Amino acid sequence: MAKSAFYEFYKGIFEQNPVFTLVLGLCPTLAVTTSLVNGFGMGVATLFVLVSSSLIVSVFRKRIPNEIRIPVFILIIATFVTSTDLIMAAYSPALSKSLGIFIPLIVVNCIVLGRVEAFSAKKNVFRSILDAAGMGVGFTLTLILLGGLREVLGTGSIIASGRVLASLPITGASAMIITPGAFMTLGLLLATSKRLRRMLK
Amino acid sequence: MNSIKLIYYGLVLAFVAGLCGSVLGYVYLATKPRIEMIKDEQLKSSLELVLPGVDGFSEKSVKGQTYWVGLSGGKTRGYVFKVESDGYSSNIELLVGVSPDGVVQGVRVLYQQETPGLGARIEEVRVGEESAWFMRQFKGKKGEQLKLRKYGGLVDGVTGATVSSEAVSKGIELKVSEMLMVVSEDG
Amino acid sequence: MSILAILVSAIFVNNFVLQKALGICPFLGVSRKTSTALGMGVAVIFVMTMASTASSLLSIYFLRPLGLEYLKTIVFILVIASLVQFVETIILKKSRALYNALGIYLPLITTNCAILGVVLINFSKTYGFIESVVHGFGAGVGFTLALLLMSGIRERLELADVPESLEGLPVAFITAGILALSFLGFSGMIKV
Repeated sequence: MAKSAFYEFYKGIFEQNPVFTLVLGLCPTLAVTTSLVNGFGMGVATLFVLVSSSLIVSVFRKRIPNEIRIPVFILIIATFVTSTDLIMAAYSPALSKSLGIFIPLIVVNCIVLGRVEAFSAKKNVFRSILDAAGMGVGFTLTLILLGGLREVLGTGSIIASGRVLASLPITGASAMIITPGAFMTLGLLLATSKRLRRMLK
Repeated sequence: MNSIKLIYYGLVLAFVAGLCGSVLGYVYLATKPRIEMIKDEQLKSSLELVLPGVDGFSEKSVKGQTYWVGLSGGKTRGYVFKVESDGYSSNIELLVGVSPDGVVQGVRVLYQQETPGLGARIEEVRVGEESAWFMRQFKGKKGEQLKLRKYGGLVDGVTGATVSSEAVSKGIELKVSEMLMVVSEDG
Repeated sequence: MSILAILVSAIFVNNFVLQKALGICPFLGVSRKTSTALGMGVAVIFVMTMASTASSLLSIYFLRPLGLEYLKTIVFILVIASLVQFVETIILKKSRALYNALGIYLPLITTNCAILGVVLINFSKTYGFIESVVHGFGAGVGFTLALLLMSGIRERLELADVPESLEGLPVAFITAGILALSFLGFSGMIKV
């Protein structure tokens, strides 16, 4: 075992960040980061789906016939996604409403299927959970960053549970809140992360 | 050999699907009561927000339109109904509460997708306030007063959002008079 | 909403890629060359239309009457996966070149959030059968339109002198952002 268990976890945060390095899971990243809270909620939901799907797939990885593995993975992931959707609607209705169809869309989030297929299907349970958790946390942090940026530059403040967490003395450019702003912000962040990684080498 | 494998795969898939379906069915049944309760609560609180001070609401339907009668001690205190208007870039849906003599008691936005920063400001809540300033204006007004100032009414529009403001104002004014007639016919 | 309004709205006003931010992965992955972009676009139009048709029928005759709405995600994604498998087989037979050019992106149509997205939107807006099919078709056309516009721009960007940090994806995103801004001009055309 060359890589430490801890590595399997923290690689998902920077070195193999799902959005900035692996360039996966872009749809929710752009659409849902209209506020920090939305980004956080989406990240946590995806984290849950990632870890639970990875767990189940890894436990049964030797029993799933290779030819039908993709449909089986999809069934497992879809079950956890729908469960998350229902639980969210029951216990966090406001968040469920603002995230809308993007919760069910976690089932086609390339991060989930990608990690399950590339990792959990082959490695043992412990490492699979760490890998999934790391990716999920990295994804959540990215969404929080993007959501927070867009919200503070777009409205001038960050609001959570009705309380203002931070604010800038600006009115805000509403272009940040809508899709064009999302594209451009992510583009600039990607360039920044590229630059940072080159500088750290 | 090939068809046996196919059947085996089919069975495995069916088994997994069945398992997943059962798990999901369980989660669904476990969350169903709470979800229904939340829906009912949200409707009730919306109704109460636009028609405060009543004991309860009864839902009625006439000519395919649903509206709610606000009752206090068995007497009608007012009505709540939906208003739909053509906004600039979306259909604006509102919930309006009105007293039996046509005075608006409250307005709430149910749906709008107007331009952020412009038309969407019809829902804007100023810092330190609790509700949207634009919508609050309609409270306590009736009939012609519900129009925008530039048409002789008492409502200030949102700067730079003429279409959205007019849609809301006109929608409320027209629907209130329409519903008062409907309600009197319904008895 | 009238059928024409649904169509125009899906293609321009609420373009799936440029307004709803759905279908980004294939949008960026395949928009380098116009020829592959077109092939991908046509495949997506086909899958979206067929998926909308099948899912609409399933919703109307199975999911809603039996109170099984919560199974929609599972049912829809399985329908889409099967359709994509089907399309893959056809393309393999008809045009080896296109099959090779699309490569991994062909099976990835299954995870194209735009396809599951349009089907879920049809469901949540309770569109009837015809509305669903038209919406699915329009969404596919809008996707293809955005894809073709991007590929035309990106083919030129390849030859331009872009600063190193911005090369590749970053500048593609910024371009997409500007394209999305331009599409904002369509809002107000149709009421949503």
